[in-house]
Amino acid sequence: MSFLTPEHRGETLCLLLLAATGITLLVGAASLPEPMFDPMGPAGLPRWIGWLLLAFVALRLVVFARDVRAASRADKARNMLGAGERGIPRAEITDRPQIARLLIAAAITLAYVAILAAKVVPFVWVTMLFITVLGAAMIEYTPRKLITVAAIGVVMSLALTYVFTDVLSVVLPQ
Amino acid sequence: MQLFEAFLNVLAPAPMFFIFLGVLLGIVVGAIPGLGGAMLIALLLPVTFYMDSVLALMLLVSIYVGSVSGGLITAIMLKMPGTPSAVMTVLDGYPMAQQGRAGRALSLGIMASFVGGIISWLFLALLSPPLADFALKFGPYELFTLVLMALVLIATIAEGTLVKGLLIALFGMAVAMVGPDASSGVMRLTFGIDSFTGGFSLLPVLLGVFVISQIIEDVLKKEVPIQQQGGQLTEFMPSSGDVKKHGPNAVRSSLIGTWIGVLPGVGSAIAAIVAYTTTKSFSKHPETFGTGEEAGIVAAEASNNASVNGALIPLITLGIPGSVIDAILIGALVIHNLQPGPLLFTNSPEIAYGVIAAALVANFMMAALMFAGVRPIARIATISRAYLFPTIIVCCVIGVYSLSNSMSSVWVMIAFGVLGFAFRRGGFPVGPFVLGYILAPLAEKELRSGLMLYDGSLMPLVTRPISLFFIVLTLVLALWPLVQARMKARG
Repeated sequence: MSFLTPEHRGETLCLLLLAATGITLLVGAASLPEPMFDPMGPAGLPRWIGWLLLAFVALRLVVFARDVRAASRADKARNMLGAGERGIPRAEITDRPQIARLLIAAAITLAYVAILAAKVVPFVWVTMLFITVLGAAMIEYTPRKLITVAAIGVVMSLALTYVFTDVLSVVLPQ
Repeated sequence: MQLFEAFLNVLAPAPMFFIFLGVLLGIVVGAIPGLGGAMLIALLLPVTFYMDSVLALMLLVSIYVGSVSGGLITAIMLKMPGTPSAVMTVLDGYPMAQQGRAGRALSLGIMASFVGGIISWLFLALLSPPLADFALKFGPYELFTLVLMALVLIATIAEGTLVKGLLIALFGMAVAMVGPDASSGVMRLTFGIDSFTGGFSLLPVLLGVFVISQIIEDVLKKEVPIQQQGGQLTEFMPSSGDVKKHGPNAVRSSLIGTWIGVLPGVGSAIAAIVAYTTTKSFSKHPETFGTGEEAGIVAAEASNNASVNGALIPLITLGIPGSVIDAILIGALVIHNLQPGPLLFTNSPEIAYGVIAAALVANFMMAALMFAGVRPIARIATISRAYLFPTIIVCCVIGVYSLSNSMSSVWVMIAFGVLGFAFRRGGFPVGPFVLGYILAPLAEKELRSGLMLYDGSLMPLVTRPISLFFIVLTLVLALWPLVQARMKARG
């Protein structure tokens, strides 16, 4: 399946998700009461959207299958030229360090939200730490950049806390 | 008269400050690739919740004006369009900068943006009140078919294929179905999950789809060092000869931009492409386009700025968003308990006319700020993402949390961020999703009102002339890409 581009794989996933949404809508609409005040009732539009989603997913799958077949033929032709020409063009591949960086950033962000939800550390401290750690995870390390990131963490957490609590009277998660 | 009063209000210190702030912020985010007006407006929605409605709308409209203009600075000096609307400006702007004429390219771009803004503003000011009056005559089926047309149009124009656009718009509509049914109060599609009972609120959905998904996308991209072109900015001020040389092109492109802006969901990037292509086809030297042709910059910039005010026309008269940013502005109206659409002129004239007046003042400020701040703005655009993204994420978290006082909204935002990223990666445009999400309740309300009004009959959809007109237009729009493809296949 080396002829499948990342976009093909992404689209497959999205089509599955959309089909699942269509089915969920139909299942959900089936459990809704009959129309009471108007001829359509609460189930009408969800049901229409469900069917339309499934119909368009089916239509897209037909086109998608044709595209994949064409990509497969092109891949075979490239195979005949030599192994080095196979597969996805280099530019379309996201480098591993980028994926690792994304995963680290995602983990830091999820941890930040989880700590805020747990309400165990005051907002200003956890935010200071979050901005600094996430910034550090995204830079190429030099002492100067690290200091900049830490300074941004301190300034922004204090500034945001002040603006939202004292100026806008917003209750922050803490 | 009401517009005159609105101008008097706008010229007070507080509105002027917020318009200045909005334009400045808009220009800066417009200049930074990966950010953009939609992101900033979505990010500031929770902040505006605590502001006076008129000032809030003025701030957001000013950001809109600034963000479409800001892209030209980085397009010319750094060869990276800060916003999609500046994509055509790169073609001739960067070659001019390489030739040492960055000052001239910037000056033409800023002036063209200003002319585009002014011409389209005239249409906004003159057409909006009578159009809103006319729209008051619309019944439920007219409004339903109008919404339908908007959805199909944005799906047609959006990146990718028509089917992908329609699918993602339908997905947006599906998300809007969760929660209590507005007519009967029955809980829909909650499947017994408590946190679904209120439905998915606008803000977490918007911030997730626009901001979080964009950050995920950008973190995955390798950050490349940016080379600035331009050297000394010579020929920076426009001359009187430019009026004669570029005036007709600027006016024509502004008219194109205004018209394209009015069409629901099309947006400023398409306006720039159409105006650029038209100018090229009118030119005696089309071969010079793409090599540093001044007319190319004028066409692209006049039209993309004109599309902003053009897009505001359906927004404030019909409640139909002309672009994705307009969809978010509709969200802002809803957050402030204002009814988007023709009733805005009747129920809240200070908002409707305030927006119109602010749009004009914002255009003047945009020109002044751009002339004054080209260099620092270009420098800001090169700031590393590592310094920006963590703070943006914190702002999103605070914004979403502050409106609901619940961390579950933050998780919803993250979930929609991941969904938005998945759709972007799968080649699905996210613009139709937001329009579907925002327009679905309106479409459902009007359709069900129509059914009640006409005893369950759908016939008035085709017997009433205005709704028939919208249906025919919708069909033409939906079928046109197929006809075009067939014509292309036949050579």
